[in-house]
Amino acid sequence: MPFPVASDLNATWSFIQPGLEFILGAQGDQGVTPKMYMNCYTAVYNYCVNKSRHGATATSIAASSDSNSYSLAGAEIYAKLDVYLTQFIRALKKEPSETFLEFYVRKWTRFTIGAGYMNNVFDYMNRYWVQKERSDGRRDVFDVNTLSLIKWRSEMFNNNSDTLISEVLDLIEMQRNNEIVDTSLISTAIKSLVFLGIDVQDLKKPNLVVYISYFEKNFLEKTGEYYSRESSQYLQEHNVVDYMKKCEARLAEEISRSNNYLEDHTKKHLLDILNKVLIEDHANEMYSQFLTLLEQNETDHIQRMYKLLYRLPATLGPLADTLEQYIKEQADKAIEKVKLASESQAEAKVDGKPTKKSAAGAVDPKSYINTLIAIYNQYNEVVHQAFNKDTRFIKSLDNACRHFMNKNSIAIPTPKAKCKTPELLARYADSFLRGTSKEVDTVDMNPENLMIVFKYLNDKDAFEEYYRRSLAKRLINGNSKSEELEESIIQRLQEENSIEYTSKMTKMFSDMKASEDLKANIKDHVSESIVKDFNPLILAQSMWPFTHMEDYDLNVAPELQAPFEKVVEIYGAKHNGRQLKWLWNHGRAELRANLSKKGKAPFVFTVSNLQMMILIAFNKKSTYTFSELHEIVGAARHTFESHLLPFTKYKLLDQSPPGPENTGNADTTFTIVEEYKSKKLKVNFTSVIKNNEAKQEEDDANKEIDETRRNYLSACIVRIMKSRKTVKHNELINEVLPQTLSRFHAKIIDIKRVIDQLIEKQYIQRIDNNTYEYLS
Amino acid sequence: MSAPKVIVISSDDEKFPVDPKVAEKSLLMKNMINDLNPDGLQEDFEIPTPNVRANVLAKVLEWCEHHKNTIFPDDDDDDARKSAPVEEWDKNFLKVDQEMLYEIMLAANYLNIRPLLDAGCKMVAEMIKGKSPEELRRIFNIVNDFSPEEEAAIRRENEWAEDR
Amino acid sequence: MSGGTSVLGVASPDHHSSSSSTTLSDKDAEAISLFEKAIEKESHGSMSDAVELYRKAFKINEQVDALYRASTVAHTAHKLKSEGGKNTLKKVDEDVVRRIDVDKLIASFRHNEAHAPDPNNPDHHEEMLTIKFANLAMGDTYADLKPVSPLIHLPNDVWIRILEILLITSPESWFQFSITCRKHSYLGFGTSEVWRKLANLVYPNQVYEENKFFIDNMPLSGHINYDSLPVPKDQLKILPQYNDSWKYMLNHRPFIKFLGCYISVVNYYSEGGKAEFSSSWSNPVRTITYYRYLRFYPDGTCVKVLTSIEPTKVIPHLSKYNTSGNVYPTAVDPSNKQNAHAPVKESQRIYHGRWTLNIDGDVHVEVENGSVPYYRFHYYYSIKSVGGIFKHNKLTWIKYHAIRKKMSEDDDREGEISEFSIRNEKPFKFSRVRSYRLDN
Repeated sequence: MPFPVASDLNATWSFIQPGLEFILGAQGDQGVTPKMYMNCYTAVYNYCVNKSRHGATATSIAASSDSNSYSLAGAEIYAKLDVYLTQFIRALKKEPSETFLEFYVRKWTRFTIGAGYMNNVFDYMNRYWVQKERSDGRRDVFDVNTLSLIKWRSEMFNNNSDTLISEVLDLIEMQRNNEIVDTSLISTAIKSLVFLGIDVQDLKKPNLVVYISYFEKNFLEKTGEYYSRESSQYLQEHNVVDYMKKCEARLAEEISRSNNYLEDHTKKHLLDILNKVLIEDHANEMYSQFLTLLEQNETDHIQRMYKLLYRLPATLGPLADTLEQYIKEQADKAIEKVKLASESQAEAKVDGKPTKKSAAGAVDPKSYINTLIAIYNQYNEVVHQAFNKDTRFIKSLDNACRHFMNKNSIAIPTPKAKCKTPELLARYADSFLRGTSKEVDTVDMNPENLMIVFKYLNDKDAFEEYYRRSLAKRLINGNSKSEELEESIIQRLQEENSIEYTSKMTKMFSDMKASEDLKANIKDHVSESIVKDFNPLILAQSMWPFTHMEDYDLNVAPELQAPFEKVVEIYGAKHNGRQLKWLWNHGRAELRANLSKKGKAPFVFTVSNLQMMILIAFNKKSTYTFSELHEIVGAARHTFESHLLPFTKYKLLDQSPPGPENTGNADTTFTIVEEYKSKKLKVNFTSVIKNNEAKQEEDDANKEIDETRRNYLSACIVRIMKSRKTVKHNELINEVLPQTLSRFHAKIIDIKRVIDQLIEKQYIQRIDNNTYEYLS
Repeated sequence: MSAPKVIVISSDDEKFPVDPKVAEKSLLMKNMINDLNPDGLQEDFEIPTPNVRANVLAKVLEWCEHHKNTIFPDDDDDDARKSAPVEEWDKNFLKVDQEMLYEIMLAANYLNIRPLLDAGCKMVAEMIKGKSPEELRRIFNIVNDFSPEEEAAIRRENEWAEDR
Repeated sequence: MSGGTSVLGVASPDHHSSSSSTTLSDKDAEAISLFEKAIEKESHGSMSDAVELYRKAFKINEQVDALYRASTVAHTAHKLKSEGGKNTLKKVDEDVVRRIDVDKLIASFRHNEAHAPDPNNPDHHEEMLTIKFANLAMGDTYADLKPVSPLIHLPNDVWIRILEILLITSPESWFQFSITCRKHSYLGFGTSEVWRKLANLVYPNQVYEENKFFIDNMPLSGHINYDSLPVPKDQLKILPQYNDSWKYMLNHRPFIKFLGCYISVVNYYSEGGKAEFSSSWSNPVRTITYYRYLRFYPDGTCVKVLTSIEPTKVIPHLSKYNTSGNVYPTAVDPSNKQNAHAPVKESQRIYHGRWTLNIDGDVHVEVENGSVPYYRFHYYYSIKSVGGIFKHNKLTWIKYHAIRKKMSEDDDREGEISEFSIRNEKPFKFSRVRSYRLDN
């Protein structure tokens, strides 16, 4: 067939139309031949080029007057195509045997292929005329492919969208009901909606307007209804654990569906709906099951619940609160058990005479601390395993621990008592740090546990006080298990808290070091005396928990004067002006006593300083009256007496008249035995010295804690006042409180007291009821 | 079996078997090959070009052959590309009489070989550059068909626009 | 200076080569030469020099003007005609010309074909003459009717591509081609593609005050959404404001031109002043000419020169890339390299500034480092058309002032405004410079 005359529009159209029928599939599946394709292209080309040669493709530049007279070459053939496409699409008919969806998908698939061909066949028109019209701002002219889609939208989709969308949604519901469906129908129909979203302003811009307004809205609504119905029904027939498994499965299904044939845009909205309907709406049911799961330690299910609720993080709040509460309760129970056990032990000890008061004090630090640790470990494990170390749940654990470690029936037996945990923790530490403890008793005690409890302590200053006191004893008595271990603990406390926190303890260590040097220095001077070995320790007064006690001021025996004076001399030379006071109440002496049977080795007596002076006096004379002896030795009378008593009790001195009631009489005489009888070669006379220093020490500790706190608070307040000049009462309190937290939890009443003191000392003054001013 | 060829047939029925890569320099032929062979080219594929005579087609395919490995940018509206000089090989290739240049440009336009059409356009632009109107009339052998008043009015209306 | 633009190139035009006639005496030749120089000076606005030269020329020959017309003008006319064609220098009826609606006229050429010269058509006589002469060598007396070049038959679609290339690379050639015949005038002046291309070459390069304000006020972190600029880059968005016509837009929407420079020529008379102890009664008066030059760049920068040196010498050096800082490097001995970096002369210094244009067509030039260190100079111009024909070719003065900069920490004079008089200033006119590119 010859080509039509290029200038004849109708002839040209008649020439290409049969080709278009093939291209769009009107002739069934018959293929398009290269010749047909090329002929169509060439006919369109000839027509357009002929118009172009004769000045018809270009638009007149004349302004508004004829701006509507678009050039005709493209326009005429474009208009023909427009009409043809309309008729073609309208003529498409559904087979009686197929659903509308099947028909739509079948025809759409073929039509879009054809539209692609056609776009290329009309390429010349696209390239020049369409391009030009769009560049000049015409928004109702499109390339042929887009034109085809727009025609499909207006002639096919718009008239049938309700049917189409409802059939697609039905199919999706069937799939949810586990029926087998042809998913390609769903995906092709949905894809077509994306293609039909054409932005006439910018054809290159992807546009989901059709997809969203026709499909997505309905789909989300249906999805919400479906799962709302299913979940309520399911929960009526199944338990929460099964429900959670069901949720997991459904979520996975829906995510894979959205990956398979939904646009990304929908994914977020779909998940929002699912999260609401499946999880948020049933969160209460899950909460109610949570305690049971915790009690049964069902970590897997707890984790399942966590992961579901995690999709809506706000729903995790109640879970975290419940966990915190639960840990507190469990801790209270466990601690109550420890308390009861130690009470019954105490009862057994005092032969059925329960003394409630001493019971708490009698609690074994080890079982107390280990109980705290056990609870911590148990729930730390839960937080790690089931809650993915979620900070919310770490916080629950922290809150609970801070609570039960500081406030429990052992720590605070009576409402106003000071918290015992710092002291118990210090004793716990002492028992595994003291070299004298038995290995078996300390296997399950370690610095790690110490540090865990320490972290949660409110009154860290109290712990420091107690710990330092026991450390001091370990140091001066030389019975620390390992210097390395001691130092590593100090190091960790410092890391956990601050350098200031451990500064006293660090100074104690350096005092010990300095004393080593002193000892070496003195050694030369004492070698000739009766003193075989002399271990003077110089302890800085404010660092060590020891105070000079006048009751113990004794007279140094003349035989011992030399080395003591040497210490004062050497130290004084080195540190001019420093005052030395002897802490006679501390320190031990070992004396060799030649009171054995002939030929036997001499006894070694471990004695206090006071006792040493008593025994040395017997080197001169074998009998003294009480007042003679007291005159020689010195010290307060009652102190002297309590140190004398062990000698008579263990029969080193014969007392006349005998009986403890007579020991303190001035005329009672004491005579040293000729020959001492004891199975052991080493005898310790110190352990039976009666004193109430233990009680005293605890009071000291508490006093010191209180005083340190007051000092800390006044320093803090002065610092704040100095920088702010005038501050309202409440502001001041609010600023002070957080500054103390790393050491202790200050009570408001204590702060008020310190403020009053500062006013008294005229550091600050009240300028009205509510405000303070700094006085420089 | 050797790789399938594209056989381009001229209007006067001469057959030019070429590598698909060569034929695909023509966007028209490339689209057609893809449209009609959605699964790739399995066997020789004939493309009739009813608007191009053998002597011109030979010339055009020579250009395609030369440029079969050249990658041309897609952007059609790039001023830098439009103002770039014609590359040396193309310049020599297009040193032909006006008749042949016309035929090549027409075929490039028809077959949608944009880089070749551009090169042709630039050659024509070069012919025009720096010439007076009278020289241009001589080059294209055309007559000045304006009346003096028409010419004066048109000059007055438009001449300013050459300044920018 | 007439209303048209003058084309200024580095190589000056060749109208010195006038002495083709051998009949002129040496004296007359000298007179004509002086006369031509005077015309050139005059064309640059350098009136005092021009007057001086005219005087000298007339001294040699009182008839020099007639002599000049007789010898040179005829030759020039012939040359112009051979370049421009039959209508060149033909007297036209201004009323008829004015009454022509050019857009309609060009639209009416839509279906015109280009024709080859027809030996039988007396209208084509002049062209035929040329052909005759061209063919003389071959001994033919009459040429056969030759068809037009086949290239003429390329589809308009293709011709428009060619015209776009010309618009980008050689705008003069676009015009020269389009004025060859009716068909070509339709292609070159009557199609929206051409004017669209031109609009897209011109407007996206303008630096709009409104856009600058918008960008300067964007939050620092946010990336600039170019779609929401007050003056969009996409010209299609602006087109509806101009009757949907690209040509209308170009006619009515002012723009700064980059392929040339703007020159303002100021002549003023100065009392020359007497020598210190002169007892003369008279006081000589001198005409002094100075020039203001402005050249703009699409990146928002511009250069500014105020000098008495004339355009042909200044223009080749007027560039922001001129590293000497001098617009007219004192003729240095090329062998003397040390001189290459001679100190910048104040009277030749190139000042660098920034410019913006607002949608009303007002241009604001700001010179941060001007001739006075404590001032920032602000010039405000308005874009106008010369004679209503040469569109957007003129910058008229609106105002000119300087604002005091902050010179020290506690400078209480910062921000003080000093207004300068523009009474003596003359508008700038645009001159196309072939060697100028958008950025050189």
